[in-house]
Amino acid sequence: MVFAMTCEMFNSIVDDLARGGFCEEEAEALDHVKICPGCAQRLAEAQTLTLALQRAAEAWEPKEAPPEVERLLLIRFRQQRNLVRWHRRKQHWIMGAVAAGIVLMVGLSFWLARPVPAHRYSSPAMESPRQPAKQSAPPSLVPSPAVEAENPQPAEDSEFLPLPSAEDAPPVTEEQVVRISVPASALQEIGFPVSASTTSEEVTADILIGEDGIARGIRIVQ
Amino acid sequence: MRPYTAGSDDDLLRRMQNGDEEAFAMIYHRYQGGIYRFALHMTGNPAMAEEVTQEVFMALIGQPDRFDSLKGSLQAFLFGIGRNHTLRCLERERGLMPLDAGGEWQTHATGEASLELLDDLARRESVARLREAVKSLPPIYREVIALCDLEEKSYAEAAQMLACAVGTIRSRLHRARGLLLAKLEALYRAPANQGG
Repeated sequence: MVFAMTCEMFNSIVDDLARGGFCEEEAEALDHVKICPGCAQRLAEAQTLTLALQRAAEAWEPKEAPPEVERLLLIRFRQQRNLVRWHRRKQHWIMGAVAAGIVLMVGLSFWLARPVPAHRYSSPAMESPRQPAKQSAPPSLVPSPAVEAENPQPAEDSEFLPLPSAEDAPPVTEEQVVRISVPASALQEIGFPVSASTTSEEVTADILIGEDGIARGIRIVQ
Repeated sequence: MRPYTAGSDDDLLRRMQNGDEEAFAMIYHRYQGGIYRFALHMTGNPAMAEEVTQEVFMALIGQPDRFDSLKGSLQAFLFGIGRNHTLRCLERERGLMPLDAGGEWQTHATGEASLELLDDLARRESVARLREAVKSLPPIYREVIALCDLEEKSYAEAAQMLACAVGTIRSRLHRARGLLLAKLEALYRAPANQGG
């Protein structure tokens, strides 16, 4: 049985035929054109329109955006790239600062909570003249009567307190005591209780220095 | 012009997101021509076509994450942006014209005038008249003419770009071509009517 195409069916595929696209019913459609002048005319129009549109597309200028558009877009691209990089860098800085802050806080808490050995730097030579009751006395910024008499010897009544910087220093066999004058704020930094009103005052102290030149302990004189 | 062909769209887009300027330039050269011509065929205005092209790639630079390769191709994504900008430009220029205004149009009917029309279309000087006719089509028909006839895209490609079914493209194109022939006939008769 031969498939017979109607004009209505032909009309639905005429553009496919004219555009040269795939059409299953192409053979039947071309047979129909041979016997139907109206549909033949329609196909001719559609083909001519396709051709005319192709020609119009070829002649339509310009075919591309001008170079100025690309230039502007590349500038915009670089700006955006720099913005993104700056945001990323800022995030890294913030994260780094937060991490450093956490490490600092943890370290400080451990340092403040550490046990302080009371007799670590007391040498036998210095311990001998001391009274047992006075050895355990806490360091004080209160001036002793001996200092008031401008005699450095009575300062030896109080013991040397270890300095944090010398915690890991090797033991010494010879030591030397040097008397210095430092701001009270410096003592506050190494853990001495100093009231806010006296931080700017000068304090006289004895520094216990080992044979290697490293300060081992401190004793407040005045 | 440099040959911008290397690399798949996904690869180029990834490189572009990492700040590779050359990758962006490759994407631009791959698609700017089609987008520019589509906008030009739709608006008939080179300045507007430039604006659309620029907006499309500005959107890509500003929000490349908006593209999802699972939902479609980069070409379809860019054309989608271009199409929206083009329609907005047309609305801005001509007021809020309904996009489906083609229903009011007379479609072409085969007749004696068509023979003269065919002769006219076969001549080179008819190009300007044809452009005028294309520009006067409602946007939903103009865009299928622009893609399928002027850019010679397949029904499937046009369907992907316009985010609709292949059948919709086919039927819209059929109607668009009928409207175009009718418009051409009207344009063809116009000088004679004016003169007589």
